[in-house]
Amino acid sequence: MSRIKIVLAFGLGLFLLWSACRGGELPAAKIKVGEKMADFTLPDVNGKPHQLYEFEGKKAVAVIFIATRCPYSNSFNHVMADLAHEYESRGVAFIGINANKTEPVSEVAEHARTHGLDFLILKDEGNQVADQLGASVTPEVFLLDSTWTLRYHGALGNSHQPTNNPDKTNGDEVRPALDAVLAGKAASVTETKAFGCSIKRVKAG
Amino acid sequence: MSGKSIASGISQGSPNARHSRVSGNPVCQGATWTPACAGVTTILVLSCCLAALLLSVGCSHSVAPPEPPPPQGIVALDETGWERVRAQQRGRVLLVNFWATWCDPCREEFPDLVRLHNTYRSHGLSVVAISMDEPESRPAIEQFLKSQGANFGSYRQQFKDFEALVNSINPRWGGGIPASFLYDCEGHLVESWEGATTYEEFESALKPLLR
Repeated sequence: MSRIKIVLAFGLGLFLLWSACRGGELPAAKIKVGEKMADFTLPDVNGKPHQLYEFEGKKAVAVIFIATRCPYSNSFNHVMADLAHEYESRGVAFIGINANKTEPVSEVAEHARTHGLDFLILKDEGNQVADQLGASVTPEVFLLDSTWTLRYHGALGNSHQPTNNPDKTNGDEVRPALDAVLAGKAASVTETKAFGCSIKRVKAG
Repeated sequence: MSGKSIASGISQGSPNARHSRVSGNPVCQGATWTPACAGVTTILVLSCCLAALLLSVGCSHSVAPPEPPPPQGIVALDETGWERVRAQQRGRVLLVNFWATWCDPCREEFPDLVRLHNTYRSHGLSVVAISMDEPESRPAIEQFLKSQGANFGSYRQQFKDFEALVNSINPRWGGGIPASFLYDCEGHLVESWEGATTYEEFESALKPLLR
């Protein structure tokens, strides 16, 4: 009888495996909170290459995927600008990455100038870094500590009640994480959903 | 560009196969275990599993219930309303699309949703569109839907906790739009897409579910 049980268990296992596969699992972020982000190199809007690890010595690095034509991302432009102004003086580097195939680098440069995004903006033409991290929307932030370890991933703010009204958008979700990293503590909330426009990839992810 | 998705195995099911029945096993009656007995038992167990798989993707009626009439105008949708909408569509295959008037790829894929609905509604497909626009965008939503000739249920999100809703639908949905979710007639999530998706991608996923 034990062999019957083994066969039954095998059958049940197959069924459970199949059940788990149902539902159309979307690709998740490829880096998890607590994992170290690998170095990458991308050009800025002038074509000059930059490495993530050139920011060695910073207390934290906020990597934010941004867009020029996404109204939702644009409603957070002032949030990003304000956060950068406030936290750069406290040892945090901000990096904006544009990975949208539909938004040329000249447009990205002009957009940053117009909206006061005066931190480093990189162009991810082939979605190399977006794919490496599993970034899916704009705006979406990956906050690293001084050892390149991911401490927070998700929305700048407003994840519970998304809005593209610039009067309502805020950085209330990334801000506590920034403060925690600067204080050498673990963030109380390490992941939120980064609602926004899906990144227009060169190829389907 | 195509939406991000992984295929599910559900399209392998044949609607007819849910009528299959597993008979008794005379070879294995009694206490003696033989290789033949093991073989037959294995086949039976695997048959049971296959039948369970096929039954789980099927529905109890060969004809889908009629499509519930869509609400008039753009209805605000909270978590309770979302559950109600899904319950109303039980028995039909349901394609849910999250979009916004400010989202270009959403607008671009919308005609495909209308065409899918027009083509397959009589075969049991329902489509529901949930706008992520601000309340003041209601006229823009209505104007767009009218221009598209959409005659399915259209709502504007008013969720109390959108993040929790995202996680309840599919925890791996990053939150980007357009996003679409396909439910079988028993209300099980079968397929998820994040990013613009083509007519053919939608069609190949939903067609095997229809009756």
